[in-house]
Amino acid sequence: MAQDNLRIVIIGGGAGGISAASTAKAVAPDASITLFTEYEDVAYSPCGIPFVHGREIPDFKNLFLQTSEHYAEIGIDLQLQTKVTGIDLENRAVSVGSEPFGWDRLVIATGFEYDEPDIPGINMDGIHYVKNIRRAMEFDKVLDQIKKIVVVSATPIGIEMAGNLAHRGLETHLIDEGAWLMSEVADPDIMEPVRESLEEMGAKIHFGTGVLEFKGSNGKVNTVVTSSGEIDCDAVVVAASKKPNNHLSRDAGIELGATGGIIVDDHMRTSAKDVFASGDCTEIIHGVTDIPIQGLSGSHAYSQGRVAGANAAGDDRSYDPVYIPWGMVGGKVQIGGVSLGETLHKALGIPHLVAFATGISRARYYPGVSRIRVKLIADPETHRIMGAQMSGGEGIKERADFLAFVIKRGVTLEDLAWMENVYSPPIGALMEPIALAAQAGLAKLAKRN
Amino acid sequence: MGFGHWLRENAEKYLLEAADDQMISQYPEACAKPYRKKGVIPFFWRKIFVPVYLIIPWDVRRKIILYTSYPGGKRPRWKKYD
Ligand SMILES: Cc1cc2nc3c(=O)[nH]c(=O)nc-3n(C[C@H](O)[C@H](O)[C@H](O)COP(=O)(O)OP(=O)(O)OC[C@H]3O[C@@H](n4cnc5c(N)ncnc54)[C@H](O)[C@@H]3O)c2cc1C
Repeated sequence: MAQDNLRIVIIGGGAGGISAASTAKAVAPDASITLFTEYEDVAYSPCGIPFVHGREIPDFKNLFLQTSEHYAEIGIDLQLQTKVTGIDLENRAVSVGSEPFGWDRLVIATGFEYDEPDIPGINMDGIHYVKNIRRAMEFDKVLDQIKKIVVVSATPIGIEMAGNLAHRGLETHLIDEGAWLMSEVADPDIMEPVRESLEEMGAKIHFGTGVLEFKGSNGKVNTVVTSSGEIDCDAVVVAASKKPNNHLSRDAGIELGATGGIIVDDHMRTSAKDVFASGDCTEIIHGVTDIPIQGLSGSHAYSQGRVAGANAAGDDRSYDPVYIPWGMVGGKVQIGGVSLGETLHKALGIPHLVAFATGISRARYYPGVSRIRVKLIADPETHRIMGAQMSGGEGIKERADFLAFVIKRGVTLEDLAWMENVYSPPIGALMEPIALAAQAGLAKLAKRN
Repeated sequence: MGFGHWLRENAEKYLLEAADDQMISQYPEACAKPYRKKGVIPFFWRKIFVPVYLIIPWDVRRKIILYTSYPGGKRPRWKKYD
């Protein structure tokens, strides 16, 4: 039930905060809604930044989805470049400068920050993190002047940056401690085509390599000292893992979980009354393992923001546990998956069966056909699907979305092995690669019994 | 950093390392030798924590993870699909 003269304050202007503000306004048009962000802008897609650097997208202007004036028109008070320095739960106020600013409901959407590695020289000039669009615009001008760049960490952002910087024509080195690309989430067989593609594009990949120090002159980086030698460079991009930005929440006494994210329930309520949270600053329950996880994606932040904003405005919406369909382009290869891959099943020690197949994306005679490797991970007892990883040329995103639903609804290998699918030469093959993988899984089980 | 956070961060790192080793032997053609820090602390996690963790059955382990995930083991309400 919407309350009269309700004051809703939102901290954060990323996907989690801006969707909370818009949804709250739609649910309670008379509420006063104020959004604070320390950045200069709202409503742009940071996800597109690597592709502007790579000149796949012509201009940063293309990444803005909405103007600030639009929010004023719909009655949202945007306070740009305004840092909130404290949350006072008892007096229901946030501190902005020296002034308290009162709220009846608060949504915290402070997002993520990079887990800055503890390496000597990390604060030198020329070491860049990809996040804020204004900093990216400045960095893009730097990229025009330089020749050699090092990207540290083969995370998804690191891979996107490496591919795009190589595409732009820079000598690009990608350094990672792991044994393969994205080894914290993806499997080596899935990532192998990405490695090949990045190398074809000219990127130099240094696996199993630790960064020991950044060195430079006049405070500006020019060398990366690694466990396998020194690499000269004109700039460095650090694409470390994301961690929740929760200084304000911790100081206010809002409960944080073991991931460091704000603990929320399925209504995005925090431990404090009338305080909601959304996006990368929270931790969310994983649908298969029940374990809380953090550092999800922009699409999760956006939908959590809608739930938090609606509930802050008096609605009664819930958010489901997540199965995390994901997909991206690495080099020129599409990769993706859902839930946990084989590596993470092994890491957690969850009993699992792995089934593979390589199929094709359209009729084998149709121009543009590409190979798709599908790997399904199933419960060996119930045969229910628990995860998947894929690489190929097209249709990975749609398969990941479909498989997320499959897992949520408890679908088994048998169901997938006999599924119906679209066959149309330009867009779909007679034999769906997912069904082929499920059939391979059943054959493996039959051999075991 | 609270105990739960500390435990989770280290457990994640070293369990993933152990899983990586299995994946490296399974897919040698797609893997390189990873870079690993040495020392007493990594030795404890690698040689004691990981083997002990992996002999506990998954269902029991999941309960331990859930209990250590929240202050006082109090889990907020979330829908469960079955
Ligand atoms: C290069 C890049 C590529 C990405 N690619 C994808 C992709 O392809 N797909 C995808 O789904 N996701 C992608 N992501 C991830 C996605 O951008 C994040 O998951 C998403 O931005 C999280 O949204 P958020 O609102 O939780 O936090 P953020 O976007 O981090 O926003 C946090 C907001 O909080 C504000 N803030 C923080 N503290 C304060 C304070 N004290 N006072 C005032 N304001 C404050 C900041 O100003 C900011 O507006 C990418 C991210 C990057 C950087």
